[in-house]
Amino acid sequence: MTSADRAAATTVTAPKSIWLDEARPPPLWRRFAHHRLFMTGAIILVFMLALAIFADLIQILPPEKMQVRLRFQTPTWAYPLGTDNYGRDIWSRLVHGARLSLIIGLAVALATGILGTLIGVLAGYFKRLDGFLMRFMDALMAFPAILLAIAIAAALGPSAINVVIALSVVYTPRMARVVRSTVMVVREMDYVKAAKACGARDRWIIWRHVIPNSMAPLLVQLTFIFAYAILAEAILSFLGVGPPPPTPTWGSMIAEGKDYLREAPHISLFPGIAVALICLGLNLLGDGLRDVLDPRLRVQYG
Amino acid sequence: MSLCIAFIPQHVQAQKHSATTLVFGQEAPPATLDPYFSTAIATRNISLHIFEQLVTRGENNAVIPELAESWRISPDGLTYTFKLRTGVKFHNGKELTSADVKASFERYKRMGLARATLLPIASMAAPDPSTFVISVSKPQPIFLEELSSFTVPIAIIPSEQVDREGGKLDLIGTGPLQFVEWVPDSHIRLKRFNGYKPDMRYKGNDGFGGQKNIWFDMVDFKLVKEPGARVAGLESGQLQIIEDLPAESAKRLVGNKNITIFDQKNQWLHGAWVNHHRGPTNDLRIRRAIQLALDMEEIMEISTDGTYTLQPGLQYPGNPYYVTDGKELYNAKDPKKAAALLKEAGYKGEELVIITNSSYQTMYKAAQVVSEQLKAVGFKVRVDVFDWATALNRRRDKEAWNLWFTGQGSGPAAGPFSALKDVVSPQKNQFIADPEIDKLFTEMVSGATFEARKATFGKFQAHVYDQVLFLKFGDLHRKQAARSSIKGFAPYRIPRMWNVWVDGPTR
Amino acid sequence: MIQFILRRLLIALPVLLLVSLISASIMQLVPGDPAAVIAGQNASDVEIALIREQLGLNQSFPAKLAAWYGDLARGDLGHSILLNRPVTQAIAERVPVTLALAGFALLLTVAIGLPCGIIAAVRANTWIDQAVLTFALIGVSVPNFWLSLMLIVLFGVMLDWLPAGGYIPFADDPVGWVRCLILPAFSLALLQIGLLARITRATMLEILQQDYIRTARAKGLSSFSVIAKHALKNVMVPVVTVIGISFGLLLSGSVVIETVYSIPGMGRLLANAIFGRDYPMIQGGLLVTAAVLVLLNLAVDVLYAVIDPRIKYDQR
Repeated sequence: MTSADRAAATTVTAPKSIWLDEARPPPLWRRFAHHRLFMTGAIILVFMLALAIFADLIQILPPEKMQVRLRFQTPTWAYPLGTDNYGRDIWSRLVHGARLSLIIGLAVALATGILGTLIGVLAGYFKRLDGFLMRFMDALMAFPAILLAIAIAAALGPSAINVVIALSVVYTPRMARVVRSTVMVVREMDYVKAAKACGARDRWIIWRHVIPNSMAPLLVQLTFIFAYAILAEAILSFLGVGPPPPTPTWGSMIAEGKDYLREAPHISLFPGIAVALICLGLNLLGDGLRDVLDPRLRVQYG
Repeated sequence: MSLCIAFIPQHVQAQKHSATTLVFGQEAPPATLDPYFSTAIATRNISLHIFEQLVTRGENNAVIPELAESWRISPDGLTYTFKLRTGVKFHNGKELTSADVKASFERYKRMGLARATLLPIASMAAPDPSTFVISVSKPQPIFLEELSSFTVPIAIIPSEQVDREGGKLDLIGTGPLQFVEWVPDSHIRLKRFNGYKPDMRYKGNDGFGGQKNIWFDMVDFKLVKEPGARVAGLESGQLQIIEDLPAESAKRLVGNKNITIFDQKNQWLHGAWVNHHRGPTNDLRIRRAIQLALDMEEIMEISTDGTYTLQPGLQYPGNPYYVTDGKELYNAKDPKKAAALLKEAGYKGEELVIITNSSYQTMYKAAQVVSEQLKAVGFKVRVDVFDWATALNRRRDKEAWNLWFTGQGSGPAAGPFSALKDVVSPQKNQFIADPEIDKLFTEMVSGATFEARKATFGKFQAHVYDQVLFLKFGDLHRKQAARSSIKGFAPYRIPRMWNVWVDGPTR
Repeated sequence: MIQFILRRLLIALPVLLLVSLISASIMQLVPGDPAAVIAGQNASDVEIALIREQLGLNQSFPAKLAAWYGDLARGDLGHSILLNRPVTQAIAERVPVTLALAGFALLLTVAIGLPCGIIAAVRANTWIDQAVLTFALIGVSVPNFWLSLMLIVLFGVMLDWLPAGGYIPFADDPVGWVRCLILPAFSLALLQIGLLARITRATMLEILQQDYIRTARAKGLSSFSVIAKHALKNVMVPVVTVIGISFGLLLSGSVVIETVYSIPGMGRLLANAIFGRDYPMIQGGLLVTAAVLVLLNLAVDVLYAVIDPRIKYDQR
């Protein structure tokens, strides 16, 4: 086991139990509901989703509408977050930006989840595939993430889909690693060995036993990847290889404001806060998931 | 362009020698410092301090002598005889002779990017060390203008370098500053060349030439890409002069006593190439609709933050060849008429593709504004943003774009013959050859008199507007700034580090 | 141990081979070429074509790849198109800068993250604990390039305490070197500080619950000596892992920070190389970076074994 594996499985919680009756813990949903941090994260996420979904209704102006005479307005009643250097309303752009940022983050999380699980299960369960698959994943992980994303995005061209592809390629190895570690543990479990002894087919074992028991760390990783993807999209947009205009993204809004930091810092300020907020929510969500789903996840000593 | 011909008294000269480094904040890193191998401003900023030309341009774009003492053109216009200045030394101590000039021209003819300039040359000779003779096959009325062009300057290099490949040149020239080191992505350091003899025919600056005195031991060209970092560097004193001061920062710094702000007018023509091959811009009516739909003031205001001039010319006011033919079609600003023209042309909603880039913010912003203005009259628009390398690549693909955003800088600055040369065959950026424009161009460059050439240029410009070969938005200006203790700095197409001194503490 | 190290190094070779293949393949797909960038936008097609020829860009992909591997076997990483110097030289100039930045960031990570995590665990469920957790959470959520911009405005411009960018080599001016690295290192380290604090805290909590700690306390040992002697030693094992990984992440994550602060490091070198299509630089630089990360992982694993005598690699 390499240190990377160890880190992948490193998730620890405060083991102090909040349930008086250890023998019969309450149903799952109630455990989630009582977890304060999880609920905070969930509320933030739902709030952001609402902003994105109802963007058209809560906007003040269409996000592309330019008003030359009203450039660089500081926050006022008419324009609560001010206007940018094109004279566009920042609030309207922010809520529309939520759409693209959230969609990209979700798409990356889903793609990474599916691909990473596939590769991780194959590598963890079938020893013959392990070596080859993991070397390939190691190679991908040896690239600095941002550089790999820039190169792929530059190769494919500027579009939201290509950003999703680029980020999925970057994060899948990390997900695969986590899944593989878990699968390797589950593979040795008694019930799996028993099923094998009974002559069950691998496919059935994987579907019925391995995947369900690997879900917990997988879900936790997914929320974190969702957060990383939103951050990464912001960075890619900042460097100029993100989704093209006119659809706003939070990253491109920060980039557009960086030439005016001193004179009009609000242009970059608000989208940055938005990114920080959604990442905060997702991190809280991930922590809560980890606490509730599998407080037994602990540091492995190899 | 500000005229700054400074006469510096002898006693002040003696006091000005300072053992300090002048630090200049440059925006873009040069890809190469070989002056024959690039058209980029970043290269010229530095190479024209290290190298000098035979003839160059003065403050008002006139041809002036630099390494040439004088020249004579034979009555039939076929022979140019240059007498070289004597006692001029290269940075390695070697004395300049006509053999070096001949070698420079030979290398340029072999691999210089603009070697087409030297095509008319039939032969070159160096009969004695201070005479250089060029013979051309046909009379070339604008030959000296071409030789003195600065887009890809014919810098004079030592004759040993004649076989050097592009980018592999040793940076040894005759200029007032000598190459010390280049740390990529950090800085380029030059030091005063103590063997330099300033050209005493001039009283001070004159364009790229003049009497060049260096009052610093070292000059550092620091590469600071982010405008905010450049401004911050200037405010803290780490940078003494910077180029490309953002307009908004300039507004904020106006009252700052420690900082002087300069206008650098006419940095480039802000505009877009138009593709005549790909639909819908293959239809003249649709191209005219685009012309009518645009509000140039809005485009320039947003993309330059207020540092611009709206005028229709492909040359700048004050240039000898300045004409305003075609002005009725410039900034006509009639969206209703544009929409009507679209309908008349039978526009069925074909997608208009705009290519811009993320490397030049002015082009990026202009594209956003144009896209919205075109949508407002009924166009369906797609904006493709690429990094500079990809954008350059896509420009050569005639199916990939309808409008390609650009800034034409040194072309117009060097004169009307290079202003929009790229619409002329064989280059034809618009992809469809325009026989009329080709004819007008040939007529213009072979016009025997200045008046004839100017008249033809008027027709050339009118035709550009008529056929929409190029969409001009406006003249883009830049601002430069320096610490107030820096004296004698006068912006030009390159940041001239000569005749600049510091009065008081450098910070 | 030696066997383990050798085996890992052997496995690293195909990984590095894959790295170079992947990067070459991706860059093959990226449109645009350095000739156009060098020539400038007003160069004609003819001029660009001639530059391409001079630079040897017209070879086929397999030919280029074979030539590159051939050079590599001789220890030659090629010649950078844009920087006009050998790739090895360009890397050698930049690596110290990135190492300095990442090292400084690592120092901040350990100096801030570790104590915070320990204190939070020792004072679990008090306001100190909550404060550390909140700070850590903010650290992992805030986009570091955005924070950098805000910090530049605050410290670099408004207060003018620190330079707004650029890099001063240590040899030139040690104080200046520190001053110009503080903001970038902090921006870079913020996420790692948060992570380290959280993991340290969690591990520490876990250990503090162990029986032998309770035994030590029962024996009458003071809290401080309990923590210092017993708990810390055991905390180090997972923490060392995280620190090792952090360093790798810091090295990788420096790209954006170096861009925002105009620091001439490896990250920015490679990013510019990708944007400028400087193929030799990209290939050489990515290979070196990958090799460094692989060696780093190996070093962490070895360190692991040194710290925790229970770990024996050769048994596998």
